Amino acid sequence: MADPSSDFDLINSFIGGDESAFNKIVLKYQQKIYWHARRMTGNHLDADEVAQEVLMVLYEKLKNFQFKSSLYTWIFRITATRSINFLRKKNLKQFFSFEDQEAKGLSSREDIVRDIETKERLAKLEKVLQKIPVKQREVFIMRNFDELSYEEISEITGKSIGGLKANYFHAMKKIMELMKENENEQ
Amino acid sequence: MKMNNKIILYLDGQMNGEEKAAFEKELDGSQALSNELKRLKEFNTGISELKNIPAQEDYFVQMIPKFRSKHEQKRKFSLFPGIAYSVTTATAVIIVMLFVMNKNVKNESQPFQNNEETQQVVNIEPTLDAGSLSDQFGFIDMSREEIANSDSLLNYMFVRELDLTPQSLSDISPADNTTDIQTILQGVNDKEADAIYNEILHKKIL
Repeated sequence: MADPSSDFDLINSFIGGDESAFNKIVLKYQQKIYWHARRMTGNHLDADEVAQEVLMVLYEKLKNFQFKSSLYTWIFRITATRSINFLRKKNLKQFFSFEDQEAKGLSSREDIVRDIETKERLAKLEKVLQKIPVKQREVFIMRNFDELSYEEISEITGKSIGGLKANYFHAMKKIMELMKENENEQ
Repeated sequence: MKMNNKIILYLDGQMNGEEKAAFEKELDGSQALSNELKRLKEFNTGISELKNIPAQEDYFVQMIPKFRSKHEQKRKFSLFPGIAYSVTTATAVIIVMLFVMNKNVKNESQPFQNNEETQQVVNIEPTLDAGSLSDQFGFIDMSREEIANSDSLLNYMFVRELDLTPQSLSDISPADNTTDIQTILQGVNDKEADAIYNEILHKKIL
């Protein structure tokens, strides 16, 4: 977890009018924001859109930050909410066919991962993750990739720890089944 | 509980001391369970390797400038909220006015439907005879009985509108005027007859 005292200073500097403090906050958390959004959405273009949206919210709301939670938790809450909202909107667009297949293809081609082997493994994982329900996916990503405890996830998502454990359990089970299916197909 | 379920709980640290001990004991006695655990551990290792993916550094370097540029655009747009508000209000007012005006135009074109005060009241002069009535209603080359019993659509409508019967026509029309009526009505074509009919429909006849 990030250093809270340093975050406190950065927020106060930003509230005091120091724009560079905001840049420092972004530099500190941008990778976490991007990769969470990336694993949730499953492709670079969507993740980039979510990340930019998160920064916009961050910039607009940071001046009213109440210090009721850590900046880290707060940023994660914004990122998680924006990712889920983005996926809902995307699903709606796809349902009404506003998003064409060409755009879909384009989003899967553009990437910031250059290493081919890593890219393939990531694509495989992203494909599996996209097949499990959003709430289960969220808990799985937060547990395995963001390395958050159930208590932290509960603070971020507002869900009970018992519910999160159940979600994680089902997510793991489904992922294992899907991986097994993939292995059998190959 | 299924084998896989226990492994998930075990690896996720969701088992208490007692459950954990029992599972480990079970693990010692089952090769299949050990293999499954090994498989899941390998999966977790694979996940760990995907935690820190080497990515294009340029992207993260450009993240802040990209945000700043987007934010600047948004700020410029938000400088004119007053204008945006005025434009929206003006558009709404125009739409409402168009709606109201359109409604008035409809009312003017159909005065008989809902505004009795504006209906034009026409008095038929008592001097009018059956000849002039026939002139208005287009009863060409027809006897009084034929007019009353006519099955043509137009005449049927006239007859129905005026509630004509052979008896009523005899009451208001002298018999020797028929020739004159026919002569006059020969000059009235179908279009004129339609126009006359429409005019009658829109007037209240006392």
